[in-house]
Amino acid sequence: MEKFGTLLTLLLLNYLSMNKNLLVAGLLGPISIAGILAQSPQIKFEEYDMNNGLHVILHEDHSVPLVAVTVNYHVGSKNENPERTGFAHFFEHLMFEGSPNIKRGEFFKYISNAGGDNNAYTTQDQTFYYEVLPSNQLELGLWLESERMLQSKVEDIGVNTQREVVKEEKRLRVDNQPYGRFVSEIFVRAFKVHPYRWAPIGSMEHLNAAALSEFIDFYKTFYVPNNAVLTITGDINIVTTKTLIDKYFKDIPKGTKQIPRPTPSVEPAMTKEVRDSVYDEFIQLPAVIYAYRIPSMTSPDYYALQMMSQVLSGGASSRMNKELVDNQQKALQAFSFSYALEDAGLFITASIVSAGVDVKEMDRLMQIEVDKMKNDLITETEFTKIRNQMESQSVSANEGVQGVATNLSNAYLFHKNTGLVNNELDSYLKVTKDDIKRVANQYLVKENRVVLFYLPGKK
Amino acid sequence: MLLNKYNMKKIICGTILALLVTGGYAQVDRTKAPPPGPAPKITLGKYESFTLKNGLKVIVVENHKLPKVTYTLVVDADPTLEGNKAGYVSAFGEMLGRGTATRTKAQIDEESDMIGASLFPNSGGIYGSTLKKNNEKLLELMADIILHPSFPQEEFDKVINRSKDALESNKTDAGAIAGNLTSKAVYGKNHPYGDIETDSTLANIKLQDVKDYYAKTFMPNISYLAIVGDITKAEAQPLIEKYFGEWAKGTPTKIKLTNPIPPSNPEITMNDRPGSQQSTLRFVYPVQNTVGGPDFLKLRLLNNVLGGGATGRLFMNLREKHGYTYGAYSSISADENVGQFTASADVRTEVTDSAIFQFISEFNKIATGGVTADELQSAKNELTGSFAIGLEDPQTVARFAINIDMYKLPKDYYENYLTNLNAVTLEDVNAAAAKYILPFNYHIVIVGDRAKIEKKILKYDTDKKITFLDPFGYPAAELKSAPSGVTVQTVMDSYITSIGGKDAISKIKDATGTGKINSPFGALDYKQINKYPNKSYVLITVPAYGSQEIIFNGTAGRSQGLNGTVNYDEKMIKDANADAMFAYEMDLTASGIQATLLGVDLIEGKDAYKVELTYPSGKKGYAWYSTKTNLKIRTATIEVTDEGSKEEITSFSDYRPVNGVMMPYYIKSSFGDLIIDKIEVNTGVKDEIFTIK
Repeated sequence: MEKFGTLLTLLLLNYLSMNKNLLVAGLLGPISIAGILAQSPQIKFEEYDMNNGLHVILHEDHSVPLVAVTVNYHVGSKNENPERTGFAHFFEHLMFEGSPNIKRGEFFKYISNAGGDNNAYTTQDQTFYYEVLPSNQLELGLWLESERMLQSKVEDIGVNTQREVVKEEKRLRVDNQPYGRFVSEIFVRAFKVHPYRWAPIGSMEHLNAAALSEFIDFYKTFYVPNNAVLTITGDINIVTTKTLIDKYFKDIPKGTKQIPRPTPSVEPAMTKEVRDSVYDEFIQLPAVIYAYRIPSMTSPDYYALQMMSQVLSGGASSRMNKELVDNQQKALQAFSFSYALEDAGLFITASIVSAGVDVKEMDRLMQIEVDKMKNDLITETEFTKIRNQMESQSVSANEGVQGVATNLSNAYLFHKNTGLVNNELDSYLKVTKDDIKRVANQYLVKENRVVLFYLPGKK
Repeated sequence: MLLNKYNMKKIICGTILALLVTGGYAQVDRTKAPPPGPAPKITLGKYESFTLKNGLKVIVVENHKLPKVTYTLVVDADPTLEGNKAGYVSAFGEMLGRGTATRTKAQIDEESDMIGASLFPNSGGIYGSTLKKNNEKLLELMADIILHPSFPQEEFDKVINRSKDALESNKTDAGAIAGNLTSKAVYGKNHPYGDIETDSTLANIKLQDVKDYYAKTFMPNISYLAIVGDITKAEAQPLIEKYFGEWAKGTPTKIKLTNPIPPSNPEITMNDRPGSQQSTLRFVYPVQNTVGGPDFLKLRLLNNVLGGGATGRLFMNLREKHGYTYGAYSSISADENVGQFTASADVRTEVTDSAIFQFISEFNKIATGGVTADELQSAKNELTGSFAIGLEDPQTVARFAINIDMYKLPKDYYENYLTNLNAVTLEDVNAAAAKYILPFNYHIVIVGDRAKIEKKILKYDTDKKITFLDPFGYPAAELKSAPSGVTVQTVMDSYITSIGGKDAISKIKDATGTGKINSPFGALDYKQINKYPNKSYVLITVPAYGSQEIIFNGTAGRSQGLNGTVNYDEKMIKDANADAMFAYEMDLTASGIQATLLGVDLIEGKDAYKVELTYPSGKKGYAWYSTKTNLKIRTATIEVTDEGSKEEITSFSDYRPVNGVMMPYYIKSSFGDLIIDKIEVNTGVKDEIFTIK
């Protein structure tokens, strides 16, 4: 298992799931709220806005003596100045540097000393922080998060250190990692105007060039209560928790600056297929990637696209796994997924090509799979299967205090519909075979895609 | 009045109260972390167990929160030394699920996906998870996979092919390479943990090996089945008896291992990964540590302080203080046979040596100075917390139950875990630090760019001899193979082009160069004259002492002067003919030299094609041409004497154009450094100077 898992980790987990590497788990985090899929049991929650604009979501569950304290800031790489890319992710590092009351290097110590766990991640759309603590340490979590929101230290020493750390992170995850530029190379070709054209890791030159005042300005613009969602789940008492939240967050002033957000429509539709090759000196086997432009994660078509990707690569009996990997043995791995973001997204299908197989041959085989999707309805067996798979996944979606907090928070942040955690399965089960064929024909067209050959060798 | 007064008072009280309340919030004391409330009780979930007649031990953990059930089957077989068939155990794992007596792989996949199950067979058992309503279907599939595998040849061929592809893709993955080098350095080839899969070991594996492994190891009497989820023991027991009851008992093979010991001195094992942006660093050595063993908790606490996470000393030093890395950690694994100490970081290439220094400093510091009381308390808090967080997953309780049986722990081991953890003293941990953290007995495994780091890290290897290994832990070939398309002819042609091209070279009829040699005997004057096609003259003058002339006139040669006189013999004449040409690379046939491209060598940190030269006399030599500039950067001749053979190396640099042809102005040899002042061409050199008197 493990040796085949390596590439999967690289290509999927590294980007798409929230991994547990310390700090900045995955630069991209979970790709979308639509992965929530919760069905049973129902998650009961309460939510309200504070006067300073902070949105609060609370969920009480006493099954384990733990509490998750999370803050979801609505800032990601898409809010960055094109001359200062990488800021949002850089801030995720900087935001552990402390405050007037938390000495440098002590943020982590407070949490581990309390027996807690913490992490954070940044995507194109959000920056998410969380702590999981023993429930008697709820107030500590609130204190830490309120200090971060009110008066985080943005100083030269922290900026300089974290600049080096982020450079190492880029080397580790991107430059030195086989297939490490996978995501950035697709997005830069699929988006020409919208800030999705750059990856959250951004440019090290931009980070080097930025003055301290720019970092302070970024903090004052985005790290404000009216741009954040505070979600607390687990072994809490709702009434006491509200009082504590008031104590620590009520007096944090509302932000006064305009929060820059790109207009989704700035990106014109693609009119011509983009075909290109990129080289990676640290890979041995080429990859072939198709990336089709799709709408936002909030689009109703999202569910049909997800179901389509399930037909293509959900499980060992799915089309790409069965045909390309097993029967023909032309691919070491093949997969597809919807990389849906807040403003737009990409539907990606990709293969890592087996040794001795020409990339053009793989291109041909992948095109056959795409064409089948467009020309024929999926079979009744496939339809039943993907519905069962969705139902099964939905049950596991809300596991753990932190998992529930993340889902609630993202449902509100991106959909303004926190209750989505309880009824998303319905949206999947409403998808028909015709819907899947329709979205295939609407989106999986040549004019709407980037085809990338990811080849071994130097640039 | 009274009434008014009373009302007034009430109003004032209200206001004051309001002020106090708001004031209380406004003056929330942010300067200190809020104290924790009373600690919540940490309770271990309950489990039940039963054993089938065939010896299969079954553990049931009820958890009705979600309508799903998971099964984990663990076969507790001793590790097997695979040797020159390394990879067959994992091939076996891949083969499970690829066919049973009644199902093909495609049927298994289809049935499992149809119920939305997760199903992962592996070499140590199987994991499956599904909705409660499909529980029995999944169980039936799992039992079929485990009890009736058919191991079809066709699927075996696929597995081996996939393994080859996977190996191929791991060749340049720094993490995978570091793993192989660690296996090699710490365990070697006589220990199962040192087995490394390569193309050649894969080629040795036969389907029969897979079948034999199954027969020898997969048996119920050494296996555990953990069932977790929306199910009771009463429901589970008849199902398990129905599906796993017929699994036949066997006799397990017990294997006695000779465990490795730490090296007596620091030793570096390295894989050269040219162009690497970072150096992947691992400090590793074997450790005797078992789950629940006498030092197990002490080592968990110790490791937590040293490098357990974002508050560990390694992280604080290498990341937060120096910014060398994204993360630096350590671990001390526990294992029935032999555990392992590992400290690791991926650091940027330029700071590799500084990072090594910081690691070693931290080892020394903790081994000799121990940990502080605060650090220990912090580690206890963190481990207590992570124990509690771990319990959120009902699988944890099942794992505890298996551990108790597998490692022969007291029944109440996990009930007392936190009490025992918190009872560990500072003296205990410091004694463990002194015993287990070895500041002088580790392997340093490095995957990185040799050219950029070798010199700087050499001091950390005791015998100053770094062991270079290929990505699979075998001794690195001296040379890398040249890229496809590169032949000896293309190297020669590229060299000629890079120095100016055939036309420019042909226009040079004679050349006269003068310079100085900085030799061990002082500065010598040097003069060399070449004339087309193959005449040469060299004059070396020792000021105020005398000189040596070396003349070759195309058919005969002589060296005469201070060092005495030598007339060229037949062999020397043949070879001199080639040497006297401006560039034998232009016409190998005419020179009589046979050239063979050997591969890509590393010369002073730069890649160079290494070409073997066989002179007309049979004498051997080499020439190196930069892969980047194509210029000749080094030659060597092999002088065979009675005492053996010796390489005489000459290096060329500082190429400058002379009439459109690049010529080296700095030539280094064992004789001294020759620095050319001036080269003149086509001055009409007369033949007289080449006369042998």
